[in-house]
Amino acid sequence: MSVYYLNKILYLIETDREFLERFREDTQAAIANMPLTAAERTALLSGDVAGLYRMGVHAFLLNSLARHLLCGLDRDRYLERIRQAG
Amino acid sequence: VAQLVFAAAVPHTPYFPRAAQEGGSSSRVTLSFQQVKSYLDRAAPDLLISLASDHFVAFFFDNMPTFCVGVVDAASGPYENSRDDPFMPWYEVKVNRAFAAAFLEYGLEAGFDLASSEELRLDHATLVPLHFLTPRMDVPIVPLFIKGLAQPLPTASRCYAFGELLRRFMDRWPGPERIGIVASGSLSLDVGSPRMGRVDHEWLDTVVALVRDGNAAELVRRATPQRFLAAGNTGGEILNWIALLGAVGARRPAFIEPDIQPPEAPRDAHAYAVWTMDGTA
Repeated sequence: MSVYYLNKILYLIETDREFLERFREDTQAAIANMPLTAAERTALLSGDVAGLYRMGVHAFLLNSLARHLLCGLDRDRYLERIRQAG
Repeated sequence: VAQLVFAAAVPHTPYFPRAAQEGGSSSRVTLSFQQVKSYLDRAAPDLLISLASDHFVAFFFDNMPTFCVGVVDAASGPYENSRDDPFMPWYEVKVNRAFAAAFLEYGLEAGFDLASSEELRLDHATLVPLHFLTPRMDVPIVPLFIKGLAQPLPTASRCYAFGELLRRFMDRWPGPERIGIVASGSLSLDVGSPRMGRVDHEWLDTVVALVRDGNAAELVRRATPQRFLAAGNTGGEILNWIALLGAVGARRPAFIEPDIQPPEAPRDAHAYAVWTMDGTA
């Protein structure tokens, strides 16, 4: 479990503009050095926010993916998916 | 000597600057903040103590303080990339560093193990209230942070004691300041969670009634993490309200007004409250 690094990626998206741009341009490359498990990496890349939430990612941080329209998410898709975890 | 002349508790919802601009002078957000501001302007504080919870902007899980004092000359923000919107300006606000540094020392001497930060990024929780209340940023602040989002959270009774500590320090601070307190936080709001969009009316009503009665002891008793987190994953922001109550003591507010926004799709329940310190309402 490396939920710390999932949270850290989301924290960087919200507070580090360069990281946000790198993440937007090439998500895989931006997170290449983060010690994530294969399942964590897949969940993040596919915008599986319900899965990420169940892994223990902080919901407030997770919401940044919708705010910045990342990993195939927008507000509506985020809501639809996160409710699967409810 | 310094004097506590004003205290207010308000929400800091990030889209409020936009809502106020778009809704105009008759919008609920504009009117609510105007009402708070009219009391603030009458009390004319020249120092504002900000009680807020950082939203993973100043602090992250690598280093997460429970109570933190910003000991800086000035601070700016909002630093969140998502707050890059035309309705919320970038602000820099002066900090009364001498007051902050002395409060930090006073706390440590009194057995209150405060953390401190000498390089501080402010987020919307501190700046949205100031955007409405002191938009010229001409009143220096002392930024105080209570962990309200990253669990585990401090207890309500410890946050009340933090407010009492702040009051004891103010009462012996030798400066000439007229001090105001601004506590920042919603009462029922989920962000990013599966329950996003739901509002806990029962908790809102309970908090408003207890605050209105000046019954801080009962609020402290009821504000368990189980209860306030059931009201929303930002429910820990009530700890800023509770710290304020520790500082103002058992007194009724001049007013407290609950609100739920946005009207067309309620998802954020909060309240606006003001305490005047001379007993007038």
